[in-house]
Amino acid sequence: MLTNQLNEILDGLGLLTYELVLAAGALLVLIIGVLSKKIWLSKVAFTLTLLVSLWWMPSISDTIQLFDGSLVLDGLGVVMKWLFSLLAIWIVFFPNSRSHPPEFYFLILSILLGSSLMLSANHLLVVYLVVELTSFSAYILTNFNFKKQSFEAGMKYLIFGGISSALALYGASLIYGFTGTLSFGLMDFELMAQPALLNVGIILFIGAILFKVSVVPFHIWVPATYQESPTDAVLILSVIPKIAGFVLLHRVISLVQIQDTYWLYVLMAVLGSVTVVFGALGAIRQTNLKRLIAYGAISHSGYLLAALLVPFEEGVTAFVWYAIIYAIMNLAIFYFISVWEVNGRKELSDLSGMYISEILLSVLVIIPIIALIGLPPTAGFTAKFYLFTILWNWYQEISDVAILSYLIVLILTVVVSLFLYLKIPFYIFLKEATAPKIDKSKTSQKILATIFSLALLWVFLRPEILNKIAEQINSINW
Amino acid sequence: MINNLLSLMIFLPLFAAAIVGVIPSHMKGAIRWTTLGTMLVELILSLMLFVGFDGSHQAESWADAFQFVEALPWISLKFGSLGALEVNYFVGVDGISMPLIVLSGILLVIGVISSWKITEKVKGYFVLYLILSASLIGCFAALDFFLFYVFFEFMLLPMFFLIGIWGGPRRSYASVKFFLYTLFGSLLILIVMIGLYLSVGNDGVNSFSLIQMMDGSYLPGSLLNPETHFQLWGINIRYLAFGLVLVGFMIKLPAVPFHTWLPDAHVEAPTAISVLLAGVLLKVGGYGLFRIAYSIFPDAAMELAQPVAILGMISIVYGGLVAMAQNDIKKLIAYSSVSHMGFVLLGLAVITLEGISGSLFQMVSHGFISGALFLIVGVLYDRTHDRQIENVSGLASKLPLYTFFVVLFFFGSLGLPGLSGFVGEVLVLMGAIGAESINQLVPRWIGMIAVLGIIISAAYYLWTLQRMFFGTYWVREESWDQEMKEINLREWIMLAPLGILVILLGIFPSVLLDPIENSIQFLVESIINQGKTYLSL
Repeated sequence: MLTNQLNEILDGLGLLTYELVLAAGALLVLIIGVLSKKIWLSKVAFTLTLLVSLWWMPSISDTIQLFDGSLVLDGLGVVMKWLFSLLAIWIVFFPNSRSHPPEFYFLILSILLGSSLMLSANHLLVVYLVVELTSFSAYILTNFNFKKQSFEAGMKYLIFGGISSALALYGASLIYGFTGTLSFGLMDFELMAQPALLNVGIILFIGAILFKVSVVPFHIWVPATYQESPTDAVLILSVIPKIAGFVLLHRVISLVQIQDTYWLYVLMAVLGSVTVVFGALGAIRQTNLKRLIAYGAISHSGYLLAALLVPFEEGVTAFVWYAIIYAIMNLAIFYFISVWEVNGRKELSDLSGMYISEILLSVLVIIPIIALIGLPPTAGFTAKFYLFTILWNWYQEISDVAILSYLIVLILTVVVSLFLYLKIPFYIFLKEATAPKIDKSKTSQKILATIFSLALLWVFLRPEILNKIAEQINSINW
Repeated sequence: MINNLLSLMIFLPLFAAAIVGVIPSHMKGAIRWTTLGTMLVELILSLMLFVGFDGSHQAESWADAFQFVEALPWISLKFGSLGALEVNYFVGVDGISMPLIVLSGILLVIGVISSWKITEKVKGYFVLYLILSASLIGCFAALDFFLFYVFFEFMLLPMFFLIGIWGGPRRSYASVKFFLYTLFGSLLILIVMIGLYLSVGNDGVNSFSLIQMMDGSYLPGSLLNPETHFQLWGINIRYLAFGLVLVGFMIKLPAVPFHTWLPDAHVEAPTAISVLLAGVLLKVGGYGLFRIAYSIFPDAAMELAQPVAILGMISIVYGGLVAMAQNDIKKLIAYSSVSHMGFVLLGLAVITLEGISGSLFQMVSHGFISGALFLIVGVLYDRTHDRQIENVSGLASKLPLYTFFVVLFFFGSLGLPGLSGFVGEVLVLMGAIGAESINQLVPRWIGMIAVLGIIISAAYYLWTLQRMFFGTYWVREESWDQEMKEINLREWIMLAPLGILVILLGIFPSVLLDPIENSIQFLVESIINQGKTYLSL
């Protein structure tokens, strides 16, 4: 009996190579950091870890349950792990990374580890553990600018995060109390008459996940955290835990059968609509570049959430595409921000008249901007358009007003998001420069910025790669 | 004839934009001449299109109504259980889009000549100009809704920068307002586009093809299928969809009450951009109404003919009245555009042969006239850097040749017989007044009130002539006096061809009406027949 279990665990480890490599790499980076303070060494170790993690990505051909069903491996998870590693590699090129202490990359790897486990978590306690692993790394990372404001933001983040995870634990205990199990695989909500207290538990538990994915009203930490954290860390925070959180949310809401739990369905649609609108409106009065993008990122959460409300493979496909394109857009925009930041441009007003001294970057940034708004000819349009089509199609099938209203809100908010993102080119091109600044962006930085921007155009013009990804997911999941 | 004529017209400016992009920015001459050369080639291509277009072709269905057709597969996205989301590169012209492409070809050349005076950031300006030209022509040629939408949206960005960077003092306000208004309109169109995509197709395969949408090959049970009679908030969803595209394109047209961005954009835009904005961009709105709102939703168009006609009538009268109250001559012309585009809406709403031919004719004629009017304002502005009507008077004695052109285009705009404006407006009014006895869609009184628009426009144009050009010569600032020189060669080159076109179309309207006649007839028949069929389902 015991041997059997041990064997099972050992077999399971073979399928967790990605996570194991990340964990080992994280420790390696930490040790290197202790031995030598040279940041480039940590960067090399970090990059190697990510490359090895991709190299050893286990190939799976079926949905697999590990460790008594506490972890689940599926096609969605594999695709997302690829995305995480491929995205994280780029942060070593961020110009603001020169001043980081070596522990920075240890924390990034911990976030990656927590997030990739979040993709597979199928057990209440595992969920709690991996969410906390991600969160704690994130709390610390927020402080890595070592300024008073950063500590303030980090503290805000910590307090809100602490409260939400406490509530989640309480919710988890309620769920456990009613279902008698911690494993998602064994829970059966259908048999129950859905007592009110169980619903409270579910809401509290989902609330903690919504905190991770910054859905209103759990978004309060986002603007300050984004503004004060190092820009490369913000890129990671804005994409990886968020997407992982959405995958987890997807698992939880399919578990509680959201399609049959109409009140929860409507609640999600309402929260999503509010998120989209609030994020866009909140950005209007912002003057700090990163804060502006932070509100935009809140708004994007509402779009991602919409995809999860559509069941079957269409919804998942729309979600994955949106997530991938969202990752590329954020990579591009945060890279630009990082370059500008090093040149002393942090506020919107610092961008005034920038096209004179920095014409290439000024022109190129328009591409990620219109992608974030969701206009053609960029990948941002592909993502939004596909999402809208899926939602309309779902509406056509079920004629549910909630989903239609959500769709209308999503489409009309594009106008507001135009207004908020347009501020960046507006300042760059239309405002007169207050004081001439000399920009010293290097050729290598310009090349990277060009690659990131053109990628957004390329995915619009030739979206075949998205089909391949969809095939990958669907071949395993369904 | 060249194969791929339309593709050539769409991609040549983009290619030229890339070339201009690599020319060093201090070589202003090279940049200007490259752009001008490109646009002249475009003009020649558009004339080839005009000559090569077979006006005698009588269409049986939308599927064979188009000429110069090119189709290539472009995007194919996996779409779950529905198969794939297919987008094609699909272009072609019929009698409705052909004149508008020719109009663009002509005005784009004139725009470049007018832009010769731009001296700052020349490179950026002409790159944006070329991109704008490509998307304009793409918009008129696209037969795939997705492609149309991409071009339609892609116009906004160059326009935003062209107004925002090279515009007047309040340019940032005007450019953002322009962008927000038109993006709002295009999002409304996006909703309908998605709905149509999911409702139209063949054998269960969905399609973005405008031809299939116009021919009404709906999938069984889909929301926009006229047989489904789906109700949303108690209204037939097809009427809602028609309303959305109507509003979307009315913002672009613009029609009252969605017109407020236009005067701001015009006043702040540089002359050449005003010319394009009034001459071509507004026509995209009108074209969208023809191609999408009316051709795809004929049932709703027939049911809602009266309210739409009333909106057109209000635009005509209200636009004219507001124009009369303006002191800034550019604003006056901007509001007169609102008034004249109201004729487009009115002519379309009545769905008769006269009305719709008049509507299309009015678009072309207004393109030439309003382009010329903005050039005329530009001439004055270049000399005085002022546009207030009360600041000058008696210009006729000082600048007789200039005054000749002003009178020509003012009279063209107010509808003097023998000039092009007359033909369009009379056809529209004939359609509007006659509709009651042809298809009973629109009562007579709407057309009769719209006639007032001509009187109002006569009033404000003649009053402006009297205030600015007649009487004793006087200018507010002494320094303007030395600048008051007769129009130069560059201005001649811009104004004379437009003058000739306005007279030509006024005396021989058949130059334009003959090639489009069959297409218009087919459009009217298919709207009425399809509309009746859909309504009886």
